[in-house]
Amino acid sequence: MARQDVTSADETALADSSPMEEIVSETALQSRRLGLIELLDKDLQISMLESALKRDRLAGTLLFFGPEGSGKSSLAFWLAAALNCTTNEGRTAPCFQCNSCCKIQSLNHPDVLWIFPLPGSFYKGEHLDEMRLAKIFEQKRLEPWIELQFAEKSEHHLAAVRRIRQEASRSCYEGRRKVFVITGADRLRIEAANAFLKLLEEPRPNVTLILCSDRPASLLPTILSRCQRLQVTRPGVSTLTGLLESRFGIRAEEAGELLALADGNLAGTLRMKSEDSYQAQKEWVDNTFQAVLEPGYSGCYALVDNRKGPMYNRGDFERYLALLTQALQDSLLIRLSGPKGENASPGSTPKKGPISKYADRVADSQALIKLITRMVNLRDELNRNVNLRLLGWSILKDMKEVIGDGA
Amino acid sequence: MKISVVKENLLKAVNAISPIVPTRSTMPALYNILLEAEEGEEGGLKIVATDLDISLSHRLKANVKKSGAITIPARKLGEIVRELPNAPVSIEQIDEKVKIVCDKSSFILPSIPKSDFPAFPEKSFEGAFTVSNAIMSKLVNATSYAAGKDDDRPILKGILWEINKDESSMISTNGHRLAKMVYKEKTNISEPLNVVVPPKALEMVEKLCSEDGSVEVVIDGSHLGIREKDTVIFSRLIEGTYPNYEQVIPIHNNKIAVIDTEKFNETLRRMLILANTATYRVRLYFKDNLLNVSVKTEDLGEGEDSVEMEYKDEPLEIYFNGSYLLDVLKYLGSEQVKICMQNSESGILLVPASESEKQRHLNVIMPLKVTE
Repeated sequence: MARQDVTSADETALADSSPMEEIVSETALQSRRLGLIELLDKDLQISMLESALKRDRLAGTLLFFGPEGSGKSSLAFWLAAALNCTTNEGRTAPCFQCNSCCKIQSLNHPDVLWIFPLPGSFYKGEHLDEMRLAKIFEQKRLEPWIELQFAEKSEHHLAAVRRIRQEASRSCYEGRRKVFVITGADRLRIEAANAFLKLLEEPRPNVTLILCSDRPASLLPTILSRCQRLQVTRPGVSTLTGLLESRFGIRAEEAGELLALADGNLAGTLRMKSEDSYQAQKEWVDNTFQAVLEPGYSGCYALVDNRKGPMYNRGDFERYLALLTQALQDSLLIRLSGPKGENASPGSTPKKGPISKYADRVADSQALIKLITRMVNLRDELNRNVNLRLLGWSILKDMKEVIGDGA
Repeated sequence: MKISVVKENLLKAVNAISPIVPTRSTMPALYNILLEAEEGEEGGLKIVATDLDISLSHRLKANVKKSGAITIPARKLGEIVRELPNAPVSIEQIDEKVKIVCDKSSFILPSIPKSDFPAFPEKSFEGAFTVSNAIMSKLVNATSYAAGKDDDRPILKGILWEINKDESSMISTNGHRLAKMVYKEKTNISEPLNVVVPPKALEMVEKLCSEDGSVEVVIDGSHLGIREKDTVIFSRLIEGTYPNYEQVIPIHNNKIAVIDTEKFNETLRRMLILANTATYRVRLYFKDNLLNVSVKTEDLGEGEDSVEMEYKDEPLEIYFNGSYLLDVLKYLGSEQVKICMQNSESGILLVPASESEKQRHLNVIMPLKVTE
């Protein structure tokens, strides 16, 4: 058998190359990291929750709704901490000093559970693959704000609801209340939603369910009617720009541009900033406009059939769609503002790019508005079992029709 | 923290608590065990493990040079201690790591601070009542197999433990079968108690505690605590209302059969070879001191066997899940089983043909409805 030769020099070289960098990057990461409970512009919601806690009027099931990236989960964990804080008797804001608050912030509290939508591949039969889930939690402990991206469609499966029901039936381990933070609550599969209803029908005195959703209308009316609702709004642009500047060292101008592209979603902004794929996505959007501007459909076919493109991966497609929608909105602004395009948003592409050329050729602004509206509403379709390439193809076709080249 | 402990004692403690350590969890601290050392005369080393349902602590004598608490990976500690020579084991916390030294061997393990480990439910045992281990073991063995496994009805996954001054009983059911064991013995309990406990916690008592001893039991709101000498087990209780099981126990039974348990068991096992693995459906036909057991499964084939019994009533044909019958025969602990029936659609009662005055064991199985 061949001997594996590892010289001491090799080991030194390996050791030298990483530790210092690791220390530096780790320190940098520490200063940049956003905690699980980051309350930005949430004074109103906090005061409402505090008032409910003081008067002991908090319902067993709550629905925090608001746009993506508005801080619903943060608020939910704030409430979980308040309900279990060992210094406040569950009646006021959490202290963030006691062991209970610290455990909640580090996702280590046995009575506070975070349930998020997962792809079907996480389930082996009716059982959740705990090892894969543990890795997700590792990721979430490091970057709780970063949204999970899966290639497959992620939903709340029946097994997840059963897990909640089983856990809810057990008494608290060390806290006062068992709190379930259910993000993406609108992504409950039908059978899971029905099982969830059963859970709501058997409320337990020491259990609080916090549903977080950016599309509450997609929830079953029977679930909605059983929830105490609280609207969560996105933090102001100045707050977010300040945060990006002070915590992440992003220049105010760039922060504004990224925020505009991410539609004010902080998680989306951070994802764009950190991901190399963002540049690739931008290129894909440019390629899309070029393909649409070309006569005929050969460019469009090539785009849809490219296996390395966004139309073969659900996560990539969602990001691509967001950028494409933004670019179409820019082209509308360029179109409406005339040749100078002065009203274009900060994230818009320079005038001579394919987006401007597309804007110049728009035959009917109303058709473009209709297309943008459709694109905004497409997110619902994405949560269904939709064929990405067919959907992509229909968008390209609509884009061509807007410039009168749909024949 | 710095301690020195006898290897055998440490091994015994680690072996006792390691079954509690979960194999899969989203909380990294649960893979660890907590070592808590306390100086002084009543001090020593306390080892704690939990899977959040059950928490177990074991105290052992140790020479504590410096008090402290730290958690280290349970599996690795177990593997290391098992392989160590017979010599005192020194465990020392050095910053965020733990150094284990025994004779010429030394190991350094990563650790997680105690603050990240779930807090052990330190409930007081004041007012605890005492139960003999032998009785507890009988009650658990006679009932735990019938508990439900369905996540949709979490309450049925537990064992209902009813205790009063004169007797203690355990009941479990999955909705299709029920097992109940009552043991008459005076307990020093002040008020009657009804709690639903996960079977695993009660089974752990049997594994860890000596057969001839007794355990102290305390129920404190959300936890059931059991203590025997240096070992303390806490289990979370299952909350909710246990179904009114008394109403499913058939009373007016006009057909009685008495069968040899071993022969019935052998016959059933033979027939189940050809039974459908989803339903384990078997047909029982009671007639003139002969029980005919048959099975017929499409694609698999059919089989028939018979066993002698005492039966003088009208003939009765009834279908059952054969695996439920086998479980009852396995845990009945009697040479003969008495089967009390009404008709082919009502549940049947299975009890030992002869029982001591002290204990009463009964099983109810609902028949299968067959639509041909």
